Amino acid sequence: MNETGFTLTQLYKSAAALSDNQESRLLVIDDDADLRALLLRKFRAEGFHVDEASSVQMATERLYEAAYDLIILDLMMLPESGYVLFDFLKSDPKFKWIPLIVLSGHQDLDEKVKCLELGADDYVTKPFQFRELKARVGRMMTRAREYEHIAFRDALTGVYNRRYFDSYVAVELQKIQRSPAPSTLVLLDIDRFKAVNDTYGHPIGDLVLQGMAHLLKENVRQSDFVARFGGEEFAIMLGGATEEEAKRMMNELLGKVRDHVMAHVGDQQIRITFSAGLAAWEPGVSRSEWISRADQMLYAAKQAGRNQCAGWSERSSGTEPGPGVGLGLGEAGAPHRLPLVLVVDESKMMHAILTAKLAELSLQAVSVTQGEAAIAFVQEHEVDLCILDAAVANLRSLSKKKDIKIFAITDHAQEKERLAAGFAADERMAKPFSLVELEMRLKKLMFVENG
Amino acid sequence: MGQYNNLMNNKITVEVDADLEDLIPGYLRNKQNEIERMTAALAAGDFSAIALTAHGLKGNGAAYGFVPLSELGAALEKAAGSQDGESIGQLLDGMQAYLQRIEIVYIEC
Repeated sequence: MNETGFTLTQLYKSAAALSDNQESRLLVIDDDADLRALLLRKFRAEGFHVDEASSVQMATERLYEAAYDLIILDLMMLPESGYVLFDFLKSDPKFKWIPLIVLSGHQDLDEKVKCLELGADDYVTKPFQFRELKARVGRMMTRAREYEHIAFRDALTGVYNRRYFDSYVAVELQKIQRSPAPSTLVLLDIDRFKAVNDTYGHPIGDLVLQGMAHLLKENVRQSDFVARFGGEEFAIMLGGATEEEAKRMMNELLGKVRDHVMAHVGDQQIRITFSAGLAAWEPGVSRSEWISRADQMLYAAKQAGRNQCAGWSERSSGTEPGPGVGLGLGEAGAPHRLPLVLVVDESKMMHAILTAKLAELSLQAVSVTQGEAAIAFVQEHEVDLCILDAAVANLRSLSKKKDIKIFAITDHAQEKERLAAGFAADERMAKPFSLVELEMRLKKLMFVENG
Repeated sequence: MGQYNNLMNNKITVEVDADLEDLIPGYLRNKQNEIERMTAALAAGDFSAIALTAHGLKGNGAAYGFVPLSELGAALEKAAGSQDGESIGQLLDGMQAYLQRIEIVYIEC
């Protein structure tokens, strides 16, 4: 097991399964040679890759040799009954999720019910016509793809989601650690997306996201991987591409994006640009460091004026990026210090969640539970950001401090009170919130001016 | 895939999936062998051997296009279960007659 908790077989298989032109693999287990011959012939004619096994023993060997998308299992077998294999499949984590159709020559209702309860996905009685079995197999394969789609894809844009991206990067890393090849990671963020949403509304914002995703998919190669990384951020893994090649591709894409009309509002044409950070993998670089490098270059591109791509290898040595580079402390030569975040919340759990997330983003965190303690702290220390639960009392004077950014986390009832009390916040978020949203908003506050 | 009696020549025309054409000769040979095996088993009073073969026949007949073979298989399996030698004998005769009467027409599916 690697750090994502998936086995290598599962990762490779799911990465492969999600690419559209992969052949589906069936395993047919039946001791009747005539029926096996027919099923092999007919399923292969349908375009499936089919393997056969005439016994439990043979089937077990096959299962360890290859990854199957669906298993057809005859229960009435000799010498060992198909039930033995059924048990084996359902108790092994490697196999229990594979769709399973059982065949039986018995018309026994109890047996049918038992099989379905034990985890058979379908039960077909012999004699059957191939057409019926084919239809059931087809439906099951489609459903399996749909489930994978739900689990691994972003609903709005259809590209992969953040969760799948994380496991994909892990697989890619293992591949290139074993046989080094250039691979470049790109993090891309739509410029001033917040302004699009605020000016034209979320439906237009959605169109922009979909348009961006579409252009990305159209302009990368079959083997490249596109995921929606955050609200308006995309991640692209360009396997086999050097940073130079990747930069060329991304600049070409940027040109196309600039020209492309994402949406029309009245007679207005909505166009966007993006900023992108690129980092090629180098031996010794960990997964988090790799992502961090691309992220830092994304920030650099934004700081340099947006509408451009910045590669790690070109970063200027004068502003050597270190942790917390996102803060941008103004004058050249000013010493960098880690940004300081004050967390004000009565809940220990909130503290734990927030501190962990802040550490991930290389931000220093200090926690207090009382308003008075918070006020006292900011008198003594240079605080960059204050994350607070607006329910905590005596925080009003905090919001008056102009140089501290305020991030208010509230539930809806408190929200009204907060607004009524004139408590200004730079960013707010309602509970319950997702960690992805938290991270996005923190990044927006700390790392970029106005998107 | 259907089958129909051809009244002109007392043949039964069976429509079989063209994808299976090259499998058919081997299949029919297997069925012939099965008749022989079951006949021998009947003579030896080995009803479980008959049930086993009949079970397989039941399972694969219809899939190939020979629905009557599946029906025969089911009947043979049942008869073997109740050790009904007389019925088995008649069913085996019926199976032999069927195999002799069929005329296959291949249909693209």
